[in-house]
Amino acid sequence: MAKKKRRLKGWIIQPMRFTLREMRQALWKPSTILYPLEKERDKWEALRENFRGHHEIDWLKCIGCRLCSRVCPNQCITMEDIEVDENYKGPRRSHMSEKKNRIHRPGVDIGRCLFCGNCGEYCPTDAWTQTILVELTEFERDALIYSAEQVKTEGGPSKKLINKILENPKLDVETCIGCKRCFNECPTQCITMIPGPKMRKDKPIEIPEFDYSKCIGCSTCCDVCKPGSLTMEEI
Amino acid sequence: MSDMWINMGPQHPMNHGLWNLKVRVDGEIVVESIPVLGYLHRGVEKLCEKRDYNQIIPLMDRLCYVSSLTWSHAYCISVEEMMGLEVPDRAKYLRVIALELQRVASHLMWLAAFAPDLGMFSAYLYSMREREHFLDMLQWLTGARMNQNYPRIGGVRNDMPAGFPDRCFKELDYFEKKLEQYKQLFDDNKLFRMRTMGVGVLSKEDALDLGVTGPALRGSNCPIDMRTHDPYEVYDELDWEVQVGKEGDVFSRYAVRMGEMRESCRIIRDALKKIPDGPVRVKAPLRPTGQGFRRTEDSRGEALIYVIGQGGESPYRLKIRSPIFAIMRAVPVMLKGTSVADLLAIMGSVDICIGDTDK
Amino acid sequence: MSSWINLYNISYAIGEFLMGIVAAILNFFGQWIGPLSDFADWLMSVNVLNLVAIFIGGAAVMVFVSIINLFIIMWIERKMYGRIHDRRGIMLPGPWKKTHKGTGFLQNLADGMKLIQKELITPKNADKWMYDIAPAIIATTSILAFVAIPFSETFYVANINAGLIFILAILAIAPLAVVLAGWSSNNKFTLIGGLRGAALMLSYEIPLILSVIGVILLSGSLNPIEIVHAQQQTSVLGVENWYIIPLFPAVIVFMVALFAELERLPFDLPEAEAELVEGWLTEYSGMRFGLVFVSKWVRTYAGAALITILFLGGWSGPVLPGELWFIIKSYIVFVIIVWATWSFPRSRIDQIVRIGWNWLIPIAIISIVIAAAFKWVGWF
Repeated sequence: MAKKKRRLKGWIIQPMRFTLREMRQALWKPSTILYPLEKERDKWEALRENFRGHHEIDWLKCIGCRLCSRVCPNQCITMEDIEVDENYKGPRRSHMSEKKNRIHRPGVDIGRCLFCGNCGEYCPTDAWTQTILVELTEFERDALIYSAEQVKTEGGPSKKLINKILENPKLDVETCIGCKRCFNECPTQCITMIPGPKMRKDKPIEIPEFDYSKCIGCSTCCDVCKPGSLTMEEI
Repeated sequence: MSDMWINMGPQHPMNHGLWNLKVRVDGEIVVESIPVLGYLHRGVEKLCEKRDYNQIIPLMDRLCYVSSLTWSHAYCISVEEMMGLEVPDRAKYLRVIALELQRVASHLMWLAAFAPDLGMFSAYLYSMREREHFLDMLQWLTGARMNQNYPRIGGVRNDMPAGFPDRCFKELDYFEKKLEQYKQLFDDNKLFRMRTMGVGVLSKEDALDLGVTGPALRGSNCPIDMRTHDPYEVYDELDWEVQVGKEGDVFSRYAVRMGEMRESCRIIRDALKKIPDGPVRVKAPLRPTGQGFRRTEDSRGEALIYVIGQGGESPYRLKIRSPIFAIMRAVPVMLKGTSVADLLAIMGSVDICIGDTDK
Repeated sequence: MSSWINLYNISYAIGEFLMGIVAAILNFFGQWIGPLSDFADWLMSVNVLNLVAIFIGGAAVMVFVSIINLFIIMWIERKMYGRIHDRRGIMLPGPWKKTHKGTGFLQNLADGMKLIQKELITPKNADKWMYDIAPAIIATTSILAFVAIPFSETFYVANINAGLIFILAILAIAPLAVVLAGWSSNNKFTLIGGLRGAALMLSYEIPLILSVIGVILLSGSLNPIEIVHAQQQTSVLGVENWYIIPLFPAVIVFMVALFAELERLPFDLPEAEAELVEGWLTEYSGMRFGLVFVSKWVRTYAGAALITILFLGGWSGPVLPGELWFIIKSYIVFVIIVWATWSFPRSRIDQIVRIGWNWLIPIAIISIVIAAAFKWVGWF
């Protein structure tokens, strides 16, 4: 009987009751917001933990190791070569950049970025942060390519380096020619050159020795190694 | 009047996504129908052969933009199977919470697409409004609203934020209250019952023969849910029930989905209570070898990803089994002899997502 | 108060003033040309002034119905279903605040301006003459229905004796234009939509007219003004006997049939936008589409006005002038129509026909029997 009564109500009354309740609630304050005029800043702030929006790079933390551009699925990060004066307080990239007063910092093509957050996740110095800023539209495609200066912030120096890739370089002593490329290019300066077992012109060939506590697994040394005597191996 | 062919698509209000349904109608009666797929083929499987294992996770998110987390999770769990990796308990619970939040959001998106098909535009906005709460929760937990990129091989991306369970309970309370109220709008609504009951009946035998999975299969009185049938993560430890419909028509598919939303809320509550402490991620090998094969319950059906690794940085081959691609075969069976108006209700009840169908 | 301020008197005064100017000019020339002053005298005679007053009054009704009233009801509907959807509805182009707190009253004007600027596309193989004439038929018949709808005892265009028949007949022409448009557009979706329109008309015109018969029985007239007069008499209950009380089943039947007549949402099958893109309207663009779209609201208001006249006592009510009471009542009916529109899913064509023949016609006949019984007892 009750079921039959409910069914009879279902012709007209029940759905109209539902819409009436919604209308009564929405009469003075609908739950929509008119976006450009109103913004839910409070909610954004409250949910900002883990959020991945506009990129920001702390230049005082970044060491220019190229890891972000390596892990990016869309290859939207390009490293820029920037000349600085001698007493620039941020970290230099390597022995080479200390010599030449040049640093490497990433720039982002937001038009291709898919906001996966891999760059921040694998950054060994936590220089990458992603803000809650999501309003990134532009009228031209070129304006979406942010140079390194446009994503620059300056916080403070990083505490320590973490190897998040969990790989370390291994040296094949037989093929190493002692060219010091890896020594010059290593962004964390974890390589020292020591005399190796092989001799050339009565002098021992210098081979790199790695300080694995400082290594971040960026594989820059492997990339620059001409004879290919460096390979990455999992820890 | 003689028959005529109608192209329902690629641009038609009926198809949610880019596909084409060719229908031969005799007046209002559908005589024959041919679904045409492939308008959205992006070559995802081939793309995956050029990315390394971690870079594939955000790509898998793009398979289906409505329930992206289930796909990236399906990929991660297959790769873990290949590596023989054991995920920490806390990560398993976090994955379940995120997956069920995603499932509710996906089912609400389905409701938002299904109701306007039946002419109920109001329900579209109501369910989008409720979806917003779940997207907020996902945003807080995973860091993005749509393409979350949350599961990782060997765990999850980050731990739960502080205060997450309390707020989540609050949102679930609100949603469960709303879900009860929706009965007034749908279950009691006589016109809605008339449109959906006895329409597009798919018998249990047909459904099993044609490879139909997910809510469409459970609507045909067949209690196969991958979460209990082939349990993964911690679903077997949690307190919930598989939803089964009896008739196999549109209404029972609707009822299964509404019931699943309710059960998902139960799962989230239970998981948030039982969640243990511990790490959320373990180290995964970078160059694995072997093959992984794991099926999971996507919000549309059985999602399966098959990975072969041959020691390189990227997989040798990756195969995606999409639930909707299989259900498309059952579409001509369901549509035969129905009217053009019922076609809407039937196709709406299937919950088509072309992103993972065309791959 | 409302005894001398009414449409007829005002338009008579305006007409007398205008005709006085014309007659004065004619008389000035009549000094030299004799027949002109005779013509001026004829212009100032009572019959001609009556005719002019009726023209001016008719123009006023049309302006009210087709412009002012139309904007108000479009605004009510769009704002109201916005609120039903839990959103703000139209808000920006209002005359006052142009922010999200605004009223958006001029949104429909802006939409109309946009539609006027759009290109009028005629499909290549369309039957051009029929294709062009169909929106015009719908628009003209919708507005023409207001010729016989009186807004008060004096606020009307024409006092037709069989006015009710005229209104129902003129509203029933539109489905013909729907079939015409559906056929001539040379498109499969429009064809199905047009034929659905024909099927709807067959199943819903009959209960619509049957439900009115009770009213005719009780009032004994087909004239809308006479029907309202009959409702203004006090009944045995001591209040004005609006026919909604004895003929409640007929009101429901009339309402449901009206939804199908107006192609509103539970029964908007001819333009079911989910399955048949926009139904019979698919190929129309620009102001042709705008005309049809606007005349849908005009017809909705005509339906609300009909319900007000037939069942809610027309313009009868205390204190306020009759026109205002009529508008208030018809707006309330319109709000109920909008509220119901956005609460239901669309039904299927066979279900509509079944509801029409299995439920509505028997209920309408029962209401006729009720009316006859009341008449026989002598309560009305």
